[in-house]
Amino acid sequence: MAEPRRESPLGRAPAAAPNRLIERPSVRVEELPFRAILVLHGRTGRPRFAQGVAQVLGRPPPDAPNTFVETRFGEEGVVIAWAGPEEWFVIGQEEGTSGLRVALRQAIPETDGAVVDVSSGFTLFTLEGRRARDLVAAGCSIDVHPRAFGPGRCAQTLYARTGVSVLQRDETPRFEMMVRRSYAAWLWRWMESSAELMAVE
Amino acid sequence: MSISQPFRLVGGGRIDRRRRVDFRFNGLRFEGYRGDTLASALLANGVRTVGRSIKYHRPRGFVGSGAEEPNGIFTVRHTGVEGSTIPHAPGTVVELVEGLEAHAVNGWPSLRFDFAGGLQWLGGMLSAGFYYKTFMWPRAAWHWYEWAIRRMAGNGRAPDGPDPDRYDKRNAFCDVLVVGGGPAGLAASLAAARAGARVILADDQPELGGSLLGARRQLGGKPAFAWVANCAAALADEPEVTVLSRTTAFGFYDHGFVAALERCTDHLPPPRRRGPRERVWRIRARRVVLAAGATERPLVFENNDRPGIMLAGAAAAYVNRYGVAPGRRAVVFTNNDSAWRAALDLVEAKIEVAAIVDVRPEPGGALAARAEAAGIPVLAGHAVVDTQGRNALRRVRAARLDGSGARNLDCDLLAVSGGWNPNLHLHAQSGGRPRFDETRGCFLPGPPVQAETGAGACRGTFRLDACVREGAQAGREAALAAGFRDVGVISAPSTDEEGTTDPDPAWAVHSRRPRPRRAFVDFQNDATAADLALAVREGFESIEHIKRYTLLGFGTDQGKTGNVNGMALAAGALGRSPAQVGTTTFRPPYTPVTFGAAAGLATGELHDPLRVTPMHEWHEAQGAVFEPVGQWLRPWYFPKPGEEMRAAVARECLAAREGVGLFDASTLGKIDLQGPDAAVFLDRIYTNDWSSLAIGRCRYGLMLGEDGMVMDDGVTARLGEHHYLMTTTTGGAAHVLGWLERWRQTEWPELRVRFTSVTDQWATIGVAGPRSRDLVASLCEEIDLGPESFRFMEFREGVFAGVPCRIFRISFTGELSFEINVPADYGRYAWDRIVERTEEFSITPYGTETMHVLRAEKGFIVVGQETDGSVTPVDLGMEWILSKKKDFIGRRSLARSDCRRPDRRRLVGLAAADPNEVLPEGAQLVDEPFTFLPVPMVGYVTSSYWSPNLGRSIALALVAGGRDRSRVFAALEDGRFVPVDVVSPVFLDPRGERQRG
Repeated sequence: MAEPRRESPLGRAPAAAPNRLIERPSVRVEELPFRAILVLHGRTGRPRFAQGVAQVLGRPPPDAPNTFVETRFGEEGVVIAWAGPEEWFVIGQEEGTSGLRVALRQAIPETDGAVVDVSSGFTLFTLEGRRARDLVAAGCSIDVHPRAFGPGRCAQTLYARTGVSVLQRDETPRFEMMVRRSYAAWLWRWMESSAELMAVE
Repeated sequence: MSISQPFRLVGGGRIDRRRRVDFRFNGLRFEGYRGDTLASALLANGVRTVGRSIKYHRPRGFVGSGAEEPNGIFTVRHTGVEGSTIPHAPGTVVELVEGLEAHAVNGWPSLRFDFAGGLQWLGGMLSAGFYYKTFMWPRAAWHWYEWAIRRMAGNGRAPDGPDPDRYDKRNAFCDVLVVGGGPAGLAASLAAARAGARVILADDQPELGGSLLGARRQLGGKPAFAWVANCAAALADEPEVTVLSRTTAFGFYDHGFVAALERCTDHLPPPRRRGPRERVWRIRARRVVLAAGATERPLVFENNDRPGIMLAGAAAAYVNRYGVAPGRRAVVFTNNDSAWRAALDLVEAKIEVAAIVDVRPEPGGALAARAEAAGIPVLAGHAVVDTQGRNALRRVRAARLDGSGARNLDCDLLAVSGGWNPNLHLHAQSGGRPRFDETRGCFLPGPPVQAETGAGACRGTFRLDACVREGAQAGREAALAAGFRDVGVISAPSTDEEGTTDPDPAWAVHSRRPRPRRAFVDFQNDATAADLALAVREGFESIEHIKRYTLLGFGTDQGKTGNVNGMALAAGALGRSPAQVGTTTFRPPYTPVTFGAAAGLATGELHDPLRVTPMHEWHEAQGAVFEPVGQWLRPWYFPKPGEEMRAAVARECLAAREGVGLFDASTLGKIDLQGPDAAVFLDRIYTNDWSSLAIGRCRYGLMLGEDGMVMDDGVTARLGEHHYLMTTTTGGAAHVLGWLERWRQTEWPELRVRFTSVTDQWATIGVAGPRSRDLVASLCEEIDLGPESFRFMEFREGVFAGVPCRIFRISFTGELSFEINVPADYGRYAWDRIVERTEEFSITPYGTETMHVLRAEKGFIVVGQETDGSVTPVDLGMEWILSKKKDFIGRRSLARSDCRRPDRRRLVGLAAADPNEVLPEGAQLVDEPFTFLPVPMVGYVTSSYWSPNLGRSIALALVAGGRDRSRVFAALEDGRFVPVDVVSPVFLDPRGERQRG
């Protein structure tokens, strides 16, 4: 039997351009499909949970709401993003090869925390370019001005009527937006329209 | 003077005389300049009559020069641009662009000769409440009346066809929002910016300056415009200042949330338009400075509506801002000093001022000397009592206030000023309550309710230097309150201020004629002083009721010029003060907002999110007809070419019971539960027992609300010692997750259990039918699918078509069936592997309609169809699912006497006596046909289908007493009563042998 083929939420991509792209002079959006994404539940106050996470990811999850930290899982760059009280997203690299879930599940006792693989349940868009902030502001009511937001900040919010997580990855600014799979194709079309309006101004 | 623009002044104005602009009005060609509005260009061409009034069809001209304009309303298009129509734009705010085509919204067949113009001679018949009183009888004739009235009335026509323009929305945040770019707003913005605050300045004009754009003023010994230019440049240098021009703040909502409409492209010729036509700014401000200015009000006297009668400030603006003479010979009629300044501006522009008519006995103050020097005759203690001129003003009649000394003054322009009304709209929308100030003769803002402060004319400060000072102070304080440093007192330039705008309140002028002519209060609605008096005589006391009876303040202008006069006149008729009568409610929007802007991108397929499954593209390629379920788009049925729905569903139903039916069940809600207390939690949430469920087994569960009514249902599997997977209905998933979290977080925090939505993580492929086991086996080697080793209501983990999977042997169809779950990234791949075997296993994809038929044949309920929030498990005949060994949410409510009534409606099956009669869902059931009214309803049809497997129609229903009844009648819309037998809701395989096979 042939190797099973994955398909991004944006549908069957041409082989030549596996990552979908919106490219305008002022803004660029790219899909980063097939990332390893986990939901992690637990109390950082419980040593077995915090230490279990630290053992795998080098540090416990961030306690401060609406922040994320960048860390490593072996050679793999990993983000731990606050997603709610006692809840985090762990975003790694390649979905198929990442041993993240197994490692975390082994390190955290079932009595002390939950680890759920949602790699297929979400996809990531990266937003960058001169007007990346405007593209965020076109769809959601989060203040992403440097005085109010910045690298290391994240938010769970509604963007164009879909629930998303927004992470600011650097100062250029580059944002990542994580969206549930079933909404992704619709949101992509929305972003295409919004970026197009922005491009022709 | 240019020949083509006979009323264009030789110099002056902020227009670009090198750039001529061709436009059309009512089909005629005209020429104006860049920088003109439609109004100024028409006036420059000597066009005075620009519309007919809505009720009496009297000729009307421009009254104002901005958003307050009541009369000059146009339908605006552009040559060569299809579909883009603005149905009712005030000509005073439409910027002139090449190719603009304007049409008056009223007046047929032409403005000069309007058939309906004869209406005005009907005298007193058309008084306030005319429509209410006249068209009440006979009632059946209303549809005819309405047709006729709608032809006569209305402000423009809605364009048909889709709007070709695009609209945008933007969220914005700031420390200080300043509304208005006039002297106060500029000073406020600069002060706040210098303190380091993030500032947004929203101004509705193309350039900053506000009232200074239309006035000839001095600031700091220089023309005020030099000061404006300095401010604009300084603001442009501030990195944290955003200046939004052509942007009207139209709504002030809670928590400092202000909505503003930016007009992005209407001022450009169509070929140069790019990007959105308009953009709604959703601004969240920590502090708001309202510097929205003031609106001049007219005076109320007989025949005060002829073309050529306009606000004094507007007349000055046409001269100063647009270089247009609004007339050749003017009379100024006022009760305050501001119009004296307008008179001087007219004289400066070489327009003859025949007289200043002032109701005050000693008017003019310091300006009186200048008027005398300019040679303007002054009629103190006089009023204009009447005017003449059919299509445009020719003459006014002035007299002393006691009626003596009447004289005629020839003129083609009457510039009137009844004082100034601060623009309180945003203040009032934010929760403020305006109060009446007797000295200044106007309503002023009350105490702020939100983090808001007024500055300048919008809080009744009319002196120019005071406006600047007040604005600077407001900006300074706003920044300070937002946590920025104190920039200290900001020095403001001095001004050439003379005179006062405090009016001598003269709300209406009485001619002392025995039968006075109409004196208009609200021009757009043709509401007169007499109408207001009549409303009071007929017993209306609340200004809100008087408004609705007389139409005062309705329409596109929302009574910006007429409201306060009307309120004062109503107060006079009631023998009260304006303070006692108060204002009507200021509702957003301040000026009309297009539907396009309100929608933004959310039109067509972007209107609302559409959720799709990993197999969606396949469904589309197969020609599936889709059904929206919540936000999900699900295949409803898969018609073959030329196949009707009924035939397609019948084919799908038979296939699922005979071969293999293939179903995309990915939309079902899926919630992952982990933790040592998960079983305890499930025991409390579900009605049945969960602690006894073994690993690897599944169980159907019913969730009740606290009221004991069915809320959701689904199958939950035990994946591991402390690990469960719950499924919910497609539409109930989000609610159920919230429900679980609510109980965990607020009631049972001691339970160690966590929930994660995994709906999107898994693609769920349902295969049903006698050959489904063989199909699954062909793709899944490592799981033993034998009927004894993989039993009904069990699940297995393994590999399906090379993809990790969870397979559940559960059934919503009553057939042998499996639900194969694979990570959604592989959903389409796994689906395709099944589809490849279509021939081998005679696979037929089916949609939600077939799913409904199959489950109804088995009597399986659908929450939301068989239940409506008032149905208990007992009503559904599901007593078996109520555990007696434990407590669960809703249990106690089931013991209420009402839940135990024997005559509650219970789920039954219905078999129509005519097996071909498919009852309509929702049809009411009665005991006896054709009986006396009212007919007692004994129940209704909840689900109804043609069952191809049974070869007859079937239905489920809720019927009082359930199967105590054996026959009822279904009342159909066509008047028939169809006899139906009450039967068991399980029509097929009551012992469940097929699904267990």
